[in-house]
This record gives sequence, structure tokens and C-alpha cells, in this order.
Amino acid sequence: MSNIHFIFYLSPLIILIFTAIFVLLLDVFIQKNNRRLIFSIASLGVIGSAATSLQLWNGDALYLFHEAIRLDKFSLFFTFLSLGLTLLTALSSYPLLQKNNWPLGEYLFFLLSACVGMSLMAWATDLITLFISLEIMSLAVYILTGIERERLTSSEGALKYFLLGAFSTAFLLYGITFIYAATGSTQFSTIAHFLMSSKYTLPPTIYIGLGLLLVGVGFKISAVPFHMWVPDVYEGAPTPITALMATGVKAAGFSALIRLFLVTLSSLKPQWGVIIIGFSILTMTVGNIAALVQNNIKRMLAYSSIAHAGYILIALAAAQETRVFDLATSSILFYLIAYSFMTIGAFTIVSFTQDLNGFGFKHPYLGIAMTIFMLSLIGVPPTVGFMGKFYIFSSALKGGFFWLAIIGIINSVIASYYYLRVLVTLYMKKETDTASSSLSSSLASSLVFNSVLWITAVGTLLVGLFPSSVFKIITKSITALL
Amino acid sequence: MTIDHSHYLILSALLFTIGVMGVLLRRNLIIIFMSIELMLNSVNLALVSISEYLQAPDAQIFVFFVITVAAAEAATGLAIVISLFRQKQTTNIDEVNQLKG
Repeated sequence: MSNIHFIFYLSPLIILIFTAIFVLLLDVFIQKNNRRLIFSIASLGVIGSAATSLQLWNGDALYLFHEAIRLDKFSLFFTFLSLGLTLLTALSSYPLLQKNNWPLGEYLFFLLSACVGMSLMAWATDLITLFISLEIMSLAVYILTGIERERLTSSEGALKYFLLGAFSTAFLLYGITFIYAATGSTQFSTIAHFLMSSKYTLPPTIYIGLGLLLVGVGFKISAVPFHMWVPDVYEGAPTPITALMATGVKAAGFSALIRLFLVTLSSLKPQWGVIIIGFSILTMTVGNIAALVQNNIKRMLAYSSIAHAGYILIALAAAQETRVFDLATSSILFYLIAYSFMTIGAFTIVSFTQDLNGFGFKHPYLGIAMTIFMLSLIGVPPTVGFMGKFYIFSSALKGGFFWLAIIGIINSVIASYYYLRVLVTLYMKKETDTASSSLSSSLASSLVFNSVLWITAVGTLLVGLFPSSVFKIITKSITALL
Repeated sequence: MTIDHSHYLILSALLFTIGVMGVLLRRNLIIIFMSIELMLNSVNLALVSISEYLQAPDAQIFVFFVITVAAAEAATGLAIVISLFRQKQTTNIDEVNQLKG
């Protein structure tokens, strides 16, 4: 890559990085009351980055920087996803930023940095790039979790997230070391080639490496038994950041899993396939059963996000059958979109108030939106949650994983109990008198806040009604993968 | 007895295990934090010795990235510990229990 072209290919990320730095500096130099300007610049940066990604969409897949990253439709798909999630997170936190006096420049800087990390994780085709992008994302999200410095639970959540996150990163690194020791390379393509063509029995170090890698990524996607941090961190973090953690960070983790396990380490399927099946069953069951007994809505959504990671792991397990690879991998991507819409929406409502007693009558429109999100999380037909589950379970059935699909379906039935309980609280409980009601009514009329709800609610319904057009785009990005 | 690559790898595995044990068993935040750094540095040791064994420089480059990331992580981690310490004058992890779980 001797010429200047790489700037063009990297433009989505470069725009994001420069916007992030610009916003951080601008916050220092302009007057404090000019928050709208900084906010608009950050949003424009995200939109500009999305526009350049759109320009790149029709190009051919190519490797950059000696196969350190790969630009193809798969990486662009995840770039779009993380850009969209970042924008929605920024929008939904805008009223809170004004109300709570959070440091705006830093907040947006770390939000955009996290977005760079999440996007880059899908681009990475080298263990070094994978590690760096994972850390860019994680460090930014640790700080975002603790951004409310006056609130003890926010700092505590950040601390727990940081300690366990850094702990898991060390495992990931050690796994990378073992993989490197066994194969002699950090490049995905060289590793895949080595595993495919090796005539000798593979050294045991590669299996240790595989296990350690699974531990490291398992933490990020909150697979059981690496889920201990999830409820505490999700409860402690500012609610918009919780939404980003549940959707964006998880999506990035799955993009790395797809590139690393399904594509690169595909010759080791017999080894990791079984582990993924075990993870998936455990994750669904533990997530759902623990969610049943939660009384705090944020904790309940945290456990539900663990359970949803379990559903996605079903598709990952099914993708080890070569004949359903396309369908299963597409269903992972589709479910990530589906989950993003409904979760961002639900958390936006929760950021509005955590006391949902009689909320449906007090704010009818918000109540309807929450009902849509909850029905979608259960998986009721006209919503996107149903289509996501449908694709995942059908790929499991076609791949011959009957038991896995049945356990998944039983789990979604169990899950409907705690989602319906939210609906009961919305419409059948008496509303409690709270002092913050005047505050929430000013939020309810906020334009930005409502636009997020509109986007997510309409998205939940529209993609659920017309899934095939989205699915076509996803299939394209999957075929670019190989 | 000569010191060869396997000794470095065994030392690195030992250091990693000590780090893991430190994170799991110690209750002081700063000690836990140091244990995590120990884990990262044991990885560095393993990377360098494997790189020497394979006669390939990739892993030595990786070590520089790991050192950089470890520095960034130290800065972030200490900042978080300080912000917590300002509100709750303690570095004992067991007293940080506002969130149940």
C-alpha cells in the first residue's frame, strides 16, 4: 500500500477519529452553554462516516496494511451497525447530558472512540488488530460507565467492569500467544492456511489457545459462565451507555467470533463446536431464570441481554455445519439488528424513568412504544424479534441441532413471563407519586428523545414486517466474508 | 543446565497463574490491579521467547502494542479507582458493594 489510496479506504474510521478529537478540543475552547454545537458536530461526524461507508459498499473486498485489516461488506455492515448504535445512544443521552451536567466533550469523545473500536473489530484480520480494536472499545466503555462521577453506583460499575474486563483481556492475550506459538503467525489467513494444510497432528497448545480465546471473547459477549459482571455493570452504568453495552459491544464481540472462529479456525470446528453448544444452553437458561426473579428493570434487562446472547450462540453453533453456514451466520447478523432496535428502545424508556407503575396511562405514547419493545423481546409475530428468533431456530433445525432449537424455544416461553410482567406494571399497577414527575414530563416533550423512540419503534415493526430486504443485504455481507 | 525457551514459557505460565490467583484471592484494589499487570507482562515474556524461538519478529512487535495498551489500561484503571476512592474512602473490594451481586 505505497500510495495514498488507503486514506480513502479508511475514511469512515478516520472521520470518526478526527471528529472525536475535534469535539474534545472544542469543548475546552468554547463557552459551556454552547452544548448544541458540539453535539451537532459529533452527530455530523457519525453521519459523514456512514456516508463514506456507503461509498465503499460497492467496492471489492480488499486487505489493507499487510492483511492487518480487511475491507469488505461484512466489515462495512458492522461499521453501519455501530455507527447507528452510537448515534442513537448519543441522541438518547442528549436530554440527560443537559439535565445531569455530564462532561459533554469527554462523553462524546469516548462514545466516538468506542464506535471506532467496535467498527475496527469487524475489520480486523490479524490478532494484533483484533486485540487493539477490542481495547480501544473496552477502555472507552469503562470510562463511559463511570462518567457520572457523583453517583457511587456509576463508579462502582465502572470499577467492576474494568477489573473483570482487564482480567478477561489478559486471558485473550494469553490465548493469542498460544495460537501464535502453534501456528507461527498472527494473520488470520496464514493461521487458517496453516491449520488447513498441516499434515502433522496439531500441538496441544492450539487447544489451550482456543480455550483462552473463548474465555476472553466470552466475557465481552457476556456468555455464561463469564456473565458475573453483567447485572452490576448494567445497573450501575448510565442508562444510554447500558444500551450501548448490551448492543454495540456485544455485536462487536460477535463480529470477532464470526471472523475468528467461523472463518479462521474453521478446521477446529469439532473442538469449539461442542463448547459453543454448551455455552449457548447455559447462557440462555441461566439468563432467563435469573431474569425471572429481578425487581429492578435495568437488572432484568441485563439478564435478558445475557439470554439473548444465548440465542445468538445457537446460530453460531449451527453455523459449524457447512451446509447451513450462510443461513446461520446471516441469522446472527439479523438478530443483532433486531436486538439493537428493541433494546435501545427499551433502555431509552428506562433512562426516562425506572418507576414504570402506571406509566402506560400517564404517557400513552411512551407506553405503546414500551409495549412494542417488550412484545418484540418476547418474539411476538409482527415484530422484528419474532423474525430474528425464527431465522435462528430454523437454521438450528436445518443444521440438525434439534435439541438446541427446542431448548431455545422453551427458553423463549419462560422469558415471556418477565417481559409480560413489565406490561402488567405499565398498565395494571397504580401510579406512584414521585417528585420527579415534572422533570420527566419535560423529558417526554424533548424532540431528540422522542425521535430515538420513533426510530426504534418503527424499525422494530418495519423490519419485522419486511425482513427480506434487510436479509438480502446481510446475505451479501456474509458472502463477502469468505 | 542451560536455560532454553521452555524455561521462559514455564516462567511465564507461573507468573500468569500468580496473577490470576492474585486477582481471585486478594481483596485490595491496588493489589488486584498489579496482578492484572503481572498477567499482561507474563504474556509479554511468552511472546518474546516464542518470537525468538520461531525466529520471527511479529510477536516482538506485538509486545510493544501490549505495553502501550497496558499503559492506557493502567491510566484508566487508576482513574476509576480514584473516582471511587473519592466517594468511598476504601480500597477494599469487599466494601464496594452498593450494587448487589
